[in-house]
Amino acid sequence: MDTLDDQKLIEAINKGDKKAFEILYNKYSSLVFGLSVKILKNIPMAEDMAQNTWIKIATHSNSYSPVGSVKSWILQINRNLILDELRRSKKWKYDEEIDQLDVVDESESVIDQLVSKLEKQLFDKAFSELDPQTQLVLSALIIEDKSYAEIAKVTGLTVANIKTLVFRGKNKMVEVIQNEKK
Amino acid sequence: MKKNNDHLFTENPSIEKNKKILSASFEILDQKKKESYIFNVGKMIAAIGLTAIIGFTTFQIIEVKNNNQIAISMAELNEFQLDEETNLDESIEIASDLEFLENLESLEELNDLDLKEAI
Repeated sequence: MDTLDDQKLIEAINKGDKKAFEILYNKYSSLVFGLSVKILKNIPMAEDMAQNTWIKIATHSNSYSPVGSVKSWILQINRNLILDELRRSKKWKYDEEIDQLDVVDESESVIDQLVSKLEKQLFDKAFSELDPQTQLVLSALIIEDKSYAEIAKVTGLTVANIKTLVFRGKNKMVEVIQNEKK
Repeated sequence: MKKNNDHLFTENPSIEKNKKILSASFEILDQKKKESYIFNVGKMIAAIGLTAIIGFTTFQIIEVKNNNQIAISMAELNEFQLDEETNLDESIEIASDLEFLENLESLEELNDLDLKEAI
């Protein structure tokens, strides 16, 4: 029902409906900004990133395909902009060595199980300790429940690379949480 | 069923930034609306123009067809009149022949009478 409502909002935005845009903005603006600020760790930069995301949504609303959810489409735009920024600032480093490691086959739901029990404050602390690549990969798993293959396609990383990042990320988060709880 | 974890990521941008983002987006939407309006008006004008061309062409075809029919009717009428005139001439000719024959018969009768009187 929610997805259908979002699609109707996009149809209205395609016709230039400002009210529909405002409703969509109020619904997802904190998620778009939150994701940007968590990965970029810089509020003014994250605000600009959020602004660029919404301007892209307003400009290219007719390129939305009803195959996926509107939320995923919005976050995809946001994620691509973050990726561009990380690459531009050389913070996106492809670690080829990771591919040489033995990949521990982590289930995609492991992270979900871990974070679903966390308080926001504790999650923020653990998440902030991760590198941008791991943050981007984990955010796609946590918010959108994307598969490794889908994340690989978006980020340009290999599935093996993603599995390793998830494994390391989970361990790092558990370590931070345990230290915080002591 | 996956648990919704969106709350773990949500952060609110400043009110000023919200206003700025909405204002910039609204400008784009206004432009989009204007372009969509121009496109629709253009589409409407094109549709009217096309309808007018089709209507005019159809009218011309009908008119040419009617003119042809009138021309055919006129030709038929002329032919008919011509036939009528021919028939009239023929009738006159026949009538003249008949009169001649009648006159001839009268002359013969007269001759017969003159002959009888002479005898």
